[in-house]
Amino acid sequence: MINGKLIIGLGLLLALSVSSCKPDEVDALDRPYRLSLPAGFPSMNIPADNELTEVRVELGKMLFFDKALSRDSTVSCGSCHFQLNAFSDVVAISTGIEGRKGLRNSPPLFNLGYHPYFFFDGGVPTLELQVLAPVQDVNEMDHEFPEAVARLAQNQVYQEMAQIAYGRSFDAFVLTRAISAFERTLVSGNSAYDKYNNGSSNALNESAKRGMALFNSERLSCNGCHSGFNFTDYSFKNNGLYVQYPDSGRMRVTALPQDRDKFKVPSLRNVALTAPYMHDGSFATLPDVIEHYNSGGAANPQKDERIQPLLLSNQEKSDLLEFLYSLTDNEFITNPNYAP
Amino acid sequence: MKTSTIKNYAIILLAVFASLSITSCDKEDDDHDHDHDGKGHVHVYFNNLYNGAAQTSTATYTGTNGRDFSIENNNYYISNMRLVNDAGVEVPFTGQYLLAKTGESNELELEEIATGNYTKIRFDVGIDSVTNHADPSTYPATSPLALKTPSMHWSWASGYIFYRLEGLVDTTAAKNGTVDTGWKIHLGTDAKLTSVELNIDLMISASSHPGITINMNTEDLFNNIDLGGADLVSMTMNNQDLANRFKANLASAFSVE
Repeated sequence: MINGKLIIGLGLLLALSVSSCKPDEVDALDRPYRLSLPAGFPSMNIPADNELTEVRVELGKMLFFDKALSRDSTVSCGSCHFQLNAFSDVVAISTGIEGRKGLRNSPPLFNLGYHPYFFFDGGVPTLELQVLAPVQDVNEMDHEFPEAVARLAQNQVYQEMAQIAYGRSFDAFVLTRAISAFERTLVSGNSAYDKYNNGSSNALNESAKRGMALFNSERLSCNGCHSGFNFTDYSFKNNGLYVQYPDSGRMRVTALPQDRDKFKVPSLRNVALTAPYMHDGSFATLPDVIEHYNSGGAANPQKDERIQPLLLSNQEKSDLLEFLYSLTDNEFITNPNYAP
Repeated sequence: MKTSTIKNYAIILLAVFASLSITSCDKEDDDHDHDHDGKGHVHVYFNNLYNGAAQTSTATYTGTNGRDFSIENNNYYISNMRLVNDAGVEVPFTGQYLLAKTGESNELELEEIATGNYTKIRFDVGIDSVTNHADPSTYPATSPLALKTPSMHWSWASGYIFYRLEGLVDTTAAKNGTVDTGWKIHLGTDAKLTSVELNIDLMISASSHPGITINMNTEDLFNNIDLGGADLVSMTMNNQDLANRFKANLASAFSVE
């Protein structure tokens, strides 16, 4: 009963603050966005200050594809994150404004609401904070954030949507929240593997089933790191790519020697669509990646103990490849809700 | 979820809404002429100098290593301001942050101070660890903690830049005065929060509103730093050695005017 009174009190306070600060009608124009999660996916933790609504998500999508975000208005988020590639890029290192090259491979964007942190080095703890990085990075959009906000705030449509969605003028809060809201709707979990997992025994062919067994076997231990519904445990690992890394990985943000040359374990969902591979895009194809793990990798002192020569037969490599192909979600990459 | 937990959340939400409605709707009472009985206030100013004169972005300075250089940005956060009275009691002023820059008034106003004699002023250069990792886009644009140009926040390793000092320097072997190479020291991360303590002789009464001017003697920041020679760039994490030498200088680079 106490709770009920408190909630009524909350509602009254909210109504008061709304009526005294902004027109009554604005909130009525927005509605909760219904996020449909695939079977077997856990619920997504969404920040209290950025619950999903239809206008928030729509505004976020418009901003995601707006090149005005970059200093010279030539590059949008969508310039390096293509839906057909599960919102990743097709080149090793993406090109920012004025032809500048970044540091690492552009990651795919899906199931981001489940990530505990962002970037290969995990330097950013929330999706909202992540938005700040590509806008300001000198090799990406190279735009001081207040200046990007000021330019976008001149857009009357954005202003009206900001009022409806967040009850405030367009500002840094609206920009970071709206793009994050759109990104949280990028949910992918309807691959052949998922269909098989949810009871369609014919969704995987025999080769893919053998590949799955190999993937989960103690001998290969792929699932030692690529675990859970999103095929990652989000840990930082060295997978023996080089003896000496030009990029120190997580150490770049922690300065801790034990983090040297370690990178976040990526999800393997849609992996057939996200070539080239590794943090620097140094492998062009999935067979190249399988060959790397088969070799046991380079002798880096930080290399994870699971990275050992696997002695895979050609049939086994082919089966693994088939399993990785089964992680492709074609519905995700053709979903019109995600297109500009 | 336990009932008590739900109730707690509801109370927190209530408090948040209450504070929101106050800050967004009410006009702040900005009249300081009516201090309460036995209370006073003081204005604290920060002033960027170089060798005793106002530091400017257009000047060319010569380091002790003989290299000419310029200072384009000399920006830093001041927080956790405290006054200590003659009985040794520390009076904290929480929640106040200042982003100090060259050529600006850089004023912090400390209010509701018990009258009496104060002998020390203490503050931190930087941001406390909780605020350091909060989201800067949640502050109004006028807040010192909001996103700024030039940025005082690292977007790739979420946290504030406590001190942003940078410009151009002569890196020629002959030290011939060609000031054309970018140098920068961006100090940040929780471990680099730097405490400063200075002696003052301050009498606070209800009727007088004294000011304290604190000078940042920028030349002192370059002790043991070979700017343009061995030292050029530290973004803290990528060059802890230079960041640590800079931090060591920082604690003693301030003085009361």
